[in-house]
Amino acid sequence: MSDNHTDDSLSAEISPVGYKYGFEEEQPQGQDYLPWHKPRKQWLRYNQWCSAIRTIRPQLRLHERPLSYLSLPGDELLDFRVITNLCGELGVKVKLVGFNDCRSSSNSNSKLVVAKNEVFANDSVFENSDVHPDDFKKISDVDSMAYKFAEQKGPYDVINLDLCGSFSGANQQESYYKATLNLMDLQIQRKIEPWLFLLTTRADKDKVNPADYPLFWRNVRENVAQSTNFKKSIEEHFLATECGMISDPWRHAGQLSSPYFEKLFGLFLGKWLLKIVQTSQRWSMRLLDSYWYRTNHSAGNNPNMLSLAFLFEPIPARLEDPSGLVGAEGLPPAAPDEVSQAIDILNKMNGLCDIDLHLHQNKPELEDAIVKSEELLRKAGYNVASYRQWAMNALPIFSDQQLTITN
Amino acid sequence: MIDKTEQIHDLAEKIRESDIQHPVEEILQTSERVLKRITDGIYRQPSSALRELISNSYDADATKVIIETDSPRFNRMTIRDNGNGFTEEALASLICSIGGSPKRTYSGSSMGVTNKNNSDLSPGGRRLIGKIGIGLFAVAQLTKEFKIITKTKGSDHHLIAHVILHAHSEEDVKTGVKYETGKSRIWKQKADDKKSQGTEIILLNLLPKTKNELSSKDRWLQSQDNFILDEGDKPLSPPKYHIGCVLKSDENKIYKKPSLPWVNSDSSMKKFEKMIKAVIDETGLSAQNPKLEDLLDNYLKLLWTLGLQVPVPYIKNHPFEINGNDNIFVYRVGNNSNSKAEKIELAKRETIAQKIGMEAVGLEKIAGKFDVFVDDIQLFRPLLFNNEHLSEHTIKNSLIFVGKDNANLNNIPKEMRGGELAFEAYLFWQPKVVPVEHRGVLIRINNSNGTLFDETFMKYPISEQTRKNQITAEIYVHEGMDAALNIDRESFNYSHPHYQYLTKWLYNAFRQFATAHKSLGQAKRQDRLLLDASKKSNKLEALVSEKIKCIKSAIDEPIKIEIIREPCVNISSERKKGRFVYKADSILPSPSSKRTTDRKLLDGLFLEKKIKAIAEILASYGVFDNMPFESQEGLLKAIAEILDFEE
Repeated sequence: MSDNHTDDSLSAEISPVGYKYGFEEEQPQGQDYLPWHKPRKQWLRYNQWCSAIRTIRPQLRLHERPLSYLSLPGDELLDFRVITNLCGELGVKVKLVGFNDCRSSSNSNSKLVVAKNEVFANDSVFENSDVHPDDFKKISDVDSMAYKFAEQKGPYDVINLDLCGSFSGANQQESYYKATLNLMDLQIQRKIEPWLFLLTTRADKDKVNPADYPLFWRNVRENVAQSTNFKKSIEEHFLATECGMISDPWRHAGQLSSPYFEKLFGLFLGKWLLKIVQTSQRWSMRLLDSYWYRTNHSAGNNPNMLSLAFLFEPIPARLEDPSGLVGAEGLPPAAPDEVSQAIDILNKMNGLCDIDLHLHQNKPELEDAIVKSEELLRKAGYNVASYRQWAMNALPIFSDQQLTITN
Repeated sequence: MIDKTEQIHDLAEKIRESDIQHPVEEILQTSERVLKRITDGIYRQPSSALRELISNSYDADATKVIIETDSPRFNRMTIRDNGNGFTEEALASLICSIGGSPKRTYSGSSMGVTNKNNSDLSPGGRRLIGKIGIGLFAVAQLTKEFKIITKTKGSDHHLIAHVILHAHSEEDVKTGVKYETGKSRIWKQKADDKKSQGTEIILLNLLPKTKNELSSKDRWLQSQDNFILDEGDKPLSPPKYHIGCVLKSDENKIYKKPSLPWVNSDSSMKKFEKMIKAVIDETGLSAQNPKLEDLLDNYLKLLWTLGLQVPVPYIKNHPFEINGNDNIFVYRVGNNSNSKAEKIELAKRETIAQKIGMEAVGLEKIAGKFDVFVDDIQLFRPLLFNNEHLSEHTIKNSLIFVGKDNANLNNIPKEMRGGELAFEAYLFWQPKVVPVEHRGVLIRINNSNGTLFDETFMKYPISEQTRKNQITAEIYVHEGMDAALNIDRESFNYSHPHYQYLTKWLYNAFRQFATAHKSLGQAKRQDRLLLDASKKSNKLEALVSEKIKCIKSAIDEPIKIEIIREPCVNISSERKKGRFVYKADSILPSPSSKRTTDRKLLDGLFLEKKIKAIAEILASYGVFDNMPFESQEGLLKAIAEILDFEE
């Protein structure tokens, strides 16, 4: 009998599984500029995200507790830095909670750790801030570590899903839809104050799962039947094409050209959230100032990236007299019904501001955004000497037609 | 041989020139002051490693330490503080000379590690816990690979060191290969905020052993129904409070949901407070005193242990902050072999520290704020000083025995003395120590402890098991004892004069406590017995007068029987006056040697009351009419002997 082991079970669990001895290559900090370094993103961080937080701030008891902020901060924690700065200005503390899908020994980790070290050292940052090394989508499973982490740190005043890709996806087990639903469930159970859901998502046709179309459309079709205003508005602004009105947009999605598709996707996302929140009967939802922009900078391209800000507000308890002995006069106004909220979303989605175009036409604001971006990137360890050049080259080119329509 | 200082200087220079693309690589070297195998791990528990890292943060003047894990998965662990951070020199010294810490040396001050005027103090003036610089390498217990990210105030860059430790090989020794403790890669990285400072240690690739221990894997495995046990084995059940566990096949999935004594929305402090309350609330639910081992899983026990060991505040008050309003009896123990514990009366708001001049509270205040958080739970010393668990006990107040000593070691030659020794201590008595792991004495050296409670009271030689089980004691060593601690800080060198002196002091203090406790107990018991006897006599008297009232022939004035002990009283003349007077020895059994206990002494007293009562009844019935006094005495004595009869 040989003494040689054929079974290595005795040595299992002595060393970590798959452990490789040696140093990994470290990724240098602040090397290449990336899409989220563009000035327009910085403009949105300040003028959409921070403004939305300022809007709800008076209704939050931030003298007793920190602002609770959940996001996908990446390795550079750019949004964490901006929100920390805002909280410093507001004189409140902030609990920063992040999801970042990277293994503890991955290359990018040192970058993240240094960033965390810097951001969490700020006096405005609450001690139990943390970045969890898991994919946000894992919150889809209520038995997952990711869900446990989100549950432990929550509820949140701000949930910011700043995606590079699309909120839509094919995997039904783990999806942004399911993860968001689970998170909203936690929010609705535990929150008593308003909260924000900031969502940045690709909205072009090939980024949206066609299997979602009929479900989205069903949500909207109800409103079309309920309200002539809604019907009129959706037909006029979303479904009118050169070939005439589309009666069932998802069945004939191919006929919907950009940017109608993108706006409709935004409307459908809004409607999806609204339908969910309606089931609680305790919350209303509205869309705050929202924006869109384009990932392709060539001349004539339409926006395909939505930057949406949804505000959820508790509906105050309100008694009425069903017998009619006391009239409704003088009672506080009832919460808006679903259709009214849907019309509001529809109108705001129709009026989305094209932030690329806005900055093209407002040079001082563009300049301000460039300066603020430089400042942010410098904090993240970038040598920003070449930034301005890069940023100017990355500005989209507008066709005369696009400029004319706007004017 | 290259001079060590020069080597450190060279490495520090190289670090200054480095960046991420041009890192410095260096072999780890141990100092000759410690064994080279130190990095193989000399600690037994994960809590030891965390304790050492927290102590390092304390020594670096941090006010806050944050430990983060992804419990119960334990794929990651980081320890972050806002302390002074490492300079290039301090980092180079750490790498070039493990165990050759600049702490407690003159070079420590130039590296920003120690105080300019006193190398036993941190730059901010705290008494240093660490001494030889192996604390950081306690992480070898948890992992063989880690990163240090550190920054000093005013610096425009972070220093990052990636360290991989090797395992010691006897083969290398035999073949003459130079043993390397490990290797490191170090680089500088630009920092945004010059003002910030601190150190973060990221433990990479935690060892399976560590993960299993932290997640109480054995406990979970053994609690499974399908776990195969040998005949006679008792399966373990999961503890009442636990963090749950993940699936072995998919670590991202929770297999068992946690059962915690707190809720998520509780504050960091409230969580720890609730854990203590949960343990205390177990008292009385079973015959045994609550045990951490039964109630908490390894992770929660780790929090508890760290709370006891690291220099964090008590959950409520320091024991020397007990005041008159707390209704705890305070005694002061003396330092002589014939000293007796002296009871101290405190005014309502007067504390022990104020009354006796204890320094421990003040020294902790001077050391300043030091908050430690583990996964959103703030650590505290889980010790409460109140009058809990006393309702069933003879003594209705907890007792605290306090003392202090600046040891006089003059009779030991200076070279053998091991320096000065100064300490303060308390022994807190309560009928039940909860949890049982708090029985014994815990020695804090410079505000820190590695040994936990020694339930033998440093091998106190007298059999006092009941009293030993009722005492929680702490000794705060302000000066000395450091040298008596072994390198792992988890055991002592018993032959060191400081340890020997402390042992004797504790024995003496325990003796004083035991004597005072005995006499207090005896007095309390006697008080209680007397009270009981008085209540019983009153009831008996009431019964007799009730019975007499029922006797038709009873005269209006009830007959009073008197039993007298004084020999000089003339019985005959008293009887002639119509009084029923008897001498005690003529009607009561002779005092017996069996009346040794308080209870039996009182039984004897009560027998007298009973005989008196019987005599009054008999007299009221007229039984004594026309009966000579001698016969009366004979009758009563016979009855008394029957009542007193005991086999």
